Amino acid sequence: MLQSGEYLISSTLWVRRSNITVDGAWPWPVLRRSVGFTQELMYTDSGSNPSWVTIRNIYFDGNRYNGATSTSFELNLYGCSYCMVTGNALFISSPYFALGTDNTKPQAVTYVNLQGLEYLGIYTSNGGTQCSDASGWSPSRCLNVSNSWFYSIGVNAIGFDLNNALIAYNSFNYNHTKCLFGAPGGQIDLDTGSNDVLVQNNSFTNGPSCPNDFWAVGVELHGSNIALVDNVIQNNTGEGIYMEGVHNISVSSTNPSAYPISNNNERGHGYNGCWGFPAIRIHTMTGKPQSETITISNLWLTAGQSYGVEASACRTGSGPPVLGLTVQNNCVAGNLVGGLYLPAAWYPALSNNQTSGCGGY
Amino acid sequence: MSKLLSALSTFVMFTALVAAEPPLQVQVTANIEFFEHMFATLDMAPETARSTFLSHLGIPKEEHQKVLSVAAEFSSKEAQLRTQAQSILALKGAEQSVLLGSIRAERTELLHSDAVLLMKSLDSGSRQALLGRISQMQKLIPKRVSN
Repeated sequence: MLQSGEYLISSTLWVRRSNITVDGAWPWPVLRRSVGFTQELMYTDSGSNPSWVTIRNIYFDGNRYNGATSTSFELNLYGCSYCMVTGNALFISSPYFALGTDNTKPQAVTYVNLQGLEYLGIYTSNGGTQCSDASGWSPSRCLNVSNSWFYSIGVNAIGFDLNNALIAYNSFNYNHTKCLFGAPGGQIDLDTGSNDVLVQNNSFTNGPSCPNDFWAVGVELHGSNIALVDNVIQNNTGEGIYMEGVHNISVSSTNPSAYPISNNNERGHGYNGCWGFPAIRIHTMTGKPQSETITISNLWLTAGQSYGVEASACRTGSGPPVLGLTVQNNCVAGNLVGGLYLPAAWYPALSNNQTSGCGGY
Repeated sequence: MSKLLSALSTFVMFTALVAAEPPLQVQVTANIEFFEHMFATLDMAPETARSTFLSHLGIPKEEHQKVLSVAAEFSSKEAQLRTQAQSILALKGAEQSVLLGSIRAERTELLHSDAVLLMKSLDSGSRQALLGRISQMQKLIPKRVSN
């Protein structure tokens, strides 16, 4: 039990034992990064490979407003199997990456707040053999990010290579505020190494414009076998969902009026060439992998200043065709330019997509 | 005999109803992680983001003000307790331990009572919807599976 108080951290706290809870006593203790210290505040030592560690009731303060810098994480869970960060864990003011998770081990982040971070909220990677068996706990997912709050994070709230993952019931609001990688991007980015991810019942809202003239989109996809179900994606500056080089993607809802993808493209009609940002864009570009097997169904894709769904090489000229695109049973009304624009899609299967008389239009 | 059977049937139905709908206090206690997280989020979120968070939880807009009032009250009282706790932390020995224990208990009680108050402030439909959502969220907390 870590006693209440503020601890100025200038060397890493190592967690090497298994079957323990690293707990804080209320008022929750604050681990604050010392200016000049750039390593992890807390690290589950990958040398000893601990398991069943729970970390809770601790504030991790990256102290960036007082000049602290970092080349690592506030908390790094690398090497830790069946390890969880939960209740009242808070990550604030991180100058770099806040929480590192290891995609070779089962890990969970639930009921956690991440706010005011310079770069990334949760960075998932390792490079070893990806975790495939999480049967020791339920839900049996290798990465479980749930019930958490992500606000005002400079780049992605979650990235990049998630495997056998569940992202559910989180609120992502006003993230990707700085576009520090010199590009637009998603409040979450499931990159090329992401595989088998369920994104369910989250909200992705108010992704802003960045000071360097790039912008935030709701969800950015480059991976494989990803399902987005029942997510609210609204009022993002760029697209609601942007995908490129993806395989086997499904975007759907069980109740389209309750989970709209609407009012995106806050930058407005005509921004950045083409026709602005659609609710869902499948982008193709020479030199990038081909997108194939994408289903978009039972959604309200409304109230944008461009299209409901666009599959094109917009802004980049040309690219490989999009194969196996199905767009069915959607409402694509209320978009300024039109419902569907799919010049890059090879024989898409289209059915029952309404351009009026639905979604309040 | 038929009266006895009828009475028994009524008793069984009543028991089933009670079993199906545990008292609010019990439901709050069983899901206290949710309420603690909710209060903490509303406390730290900028004012403009609070309503977005409540909408994310599926709470209708017309109910937001009620929830925000209870949450603000909790934050204010919790801040007072935190200030007291921090002054006690400067003390030494057994006295510190006893006083801190007492304040922590008070804070736990406040958390439970304000969570109940929050739920009671919602109309019946919103309350049931929120309880349903909490139930889904609680299922996502990983539980160890014995082999």
